[in-house]
Amino acid sequence: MLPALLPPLFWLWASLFSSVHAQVVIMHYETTQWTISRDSLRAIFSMRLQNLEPRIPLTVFVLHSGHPVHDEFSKNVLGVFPYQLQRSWDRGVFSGTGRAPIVVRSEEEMLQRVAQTPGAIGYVSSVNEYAGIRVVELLP
Amino acid sequence: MSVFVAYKGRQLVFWLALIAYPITASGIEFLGPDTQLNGFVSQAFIQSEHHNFYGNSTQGSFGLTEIGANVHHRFHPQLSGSVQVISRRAGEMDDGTPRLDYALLDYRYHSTMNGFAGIRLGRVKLPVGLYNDTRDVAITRPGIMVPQSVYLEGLALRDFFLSADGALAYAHWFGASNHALQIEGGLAVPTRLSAQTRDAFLLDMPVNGSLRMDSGQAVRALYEWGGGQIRLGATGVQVRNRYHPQAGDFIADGRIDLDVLILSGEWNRERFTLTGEGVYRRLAAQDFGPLPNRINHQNGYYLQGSYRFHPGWEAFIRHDIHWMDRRDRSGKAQAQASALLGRPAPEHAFFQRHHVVGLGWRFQPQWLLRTEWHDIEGTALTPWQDNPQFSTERGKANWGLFAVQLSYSF
Repeated sequence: MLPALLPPLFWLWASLFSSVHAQVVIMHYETTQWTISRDSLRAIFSMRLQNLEPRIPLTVFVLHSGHPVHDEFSKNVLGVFPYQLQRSWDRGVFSGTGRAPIVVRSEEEMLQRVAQTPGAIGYVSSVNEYAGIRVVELLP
Repeated sequence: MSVFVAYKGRQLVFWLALIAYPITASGIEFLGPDTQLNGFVSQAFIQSEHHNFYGNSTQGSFGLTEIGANVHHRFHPQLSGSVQVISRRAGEMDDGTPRLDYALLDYRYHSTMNGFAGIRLGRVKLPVGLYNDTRDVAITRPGIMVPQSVYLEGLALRDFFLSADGALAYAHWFGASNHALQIEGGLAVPTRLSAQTRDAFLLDMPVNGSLRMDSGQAVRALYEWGGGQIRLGATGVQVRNRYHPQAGDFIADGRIDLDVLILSGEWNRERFTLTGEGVYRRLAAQDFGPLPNRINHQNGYYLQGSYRFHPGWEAFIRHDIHWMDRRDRSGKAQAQASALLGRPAPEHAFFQRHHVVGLGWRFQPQWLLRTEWHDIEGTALTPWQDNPQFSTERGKANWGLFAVQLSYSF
């Protein structure tokens, strides 16, 4: 009985742990940014900061709230709970002071959209090589 | 028949458009990534005992309906524009006539990795407390009803607090690790206030003149720690009004000054949020001919604890209290004074306390179903418009209401 339970338990343990690690911030390859601070990232993903470069507006991509990668990115990288991000977007959108981010359905779509959109920023759980993407390093 | 087909056709195009356009976190991207369309619809049902709120709610009322749509367009990385139209039906206070909620140009003249600053021109929303700028959008409120002590409903000060024609300057800093500060200051151009606001200020006296706002300002500073885990705010508002009598009016061209200070705090954890705001309001009506000068120091506060016990579910409790005169919280002295002035009112007409329990369920990302129960003591903030009997009979001090609301937003 116990040996039969071990593989699923191990899988559960591994998936719980792997989801906590390796969140990568990605931007369109034309960006001049190589590094970014957590405070700036918060301002970007809460849709307050609108551009990093004078001529190129930021376009923010996120996975839907409840997606494990979104929730982990929000909590571990931004240090903000997902419901706070949602509130910040709603406040901006309905007071005329901001916009909502664009929601993509999968990490694959995230990579595609960020690679295609100048000024784009997003995140994935991990990435090796992807044409049109630059991985931006988080400042400690 | 052809009209019907055309109507159906348009409806179909609308729904196809909804499906075809990429959905943003809460909205529709159309005509490219620079334009976003968002909106909301909400409908509430209210059942109350003894007094009405939002329509004839003692008999059960569907009198609170909110519908709105907005467009945001980015002309340039530093320049954007947005417009929102809202139709709000709220009992006898608001009849649902669509109004321009905001229409503004936003120019961000400074933007770096550590902060930004800019100016909004046009009809702007004033940042007052934590919720004023989106108070008519159900999903952004902390419950079906906003806390009444801070976000008054029954006293028609809404005119100025809803939106103001003028300018608003803003600056945000988030350079220092974990600390962020926002400062926003709005300035309204002089305008004539609505007849409802005039009547609320002048206690429904039979007059025909108009009330003009000569100046109006609001400033808010909001400090955030840890990406908003702790938020502390202070808002100051100053509004100066003058009454312009018409022939036959028995009162002179008096002035009404309003000063408001609001302190706000919020503590956010993964499962719970604790929110509290306190308000001090000074309302001075002076130089109204035969009427004596009246200076009123109002006070109030609310505390709310929310608990997210399951994904999509939230329960809350709230204590919310308002006093018409902070030096006479029981209303005793004011009740005696009102009898001497020939407009007798009981003590409970001078305060109002809500104890609220509520439950919210976001069963789809775009749908929110809420319900709440209010145990209420006092009638100071209970809308006169919904309770015409108040002019002769103030009724019971203890009452309550139950509300259910369904909201959709995109």
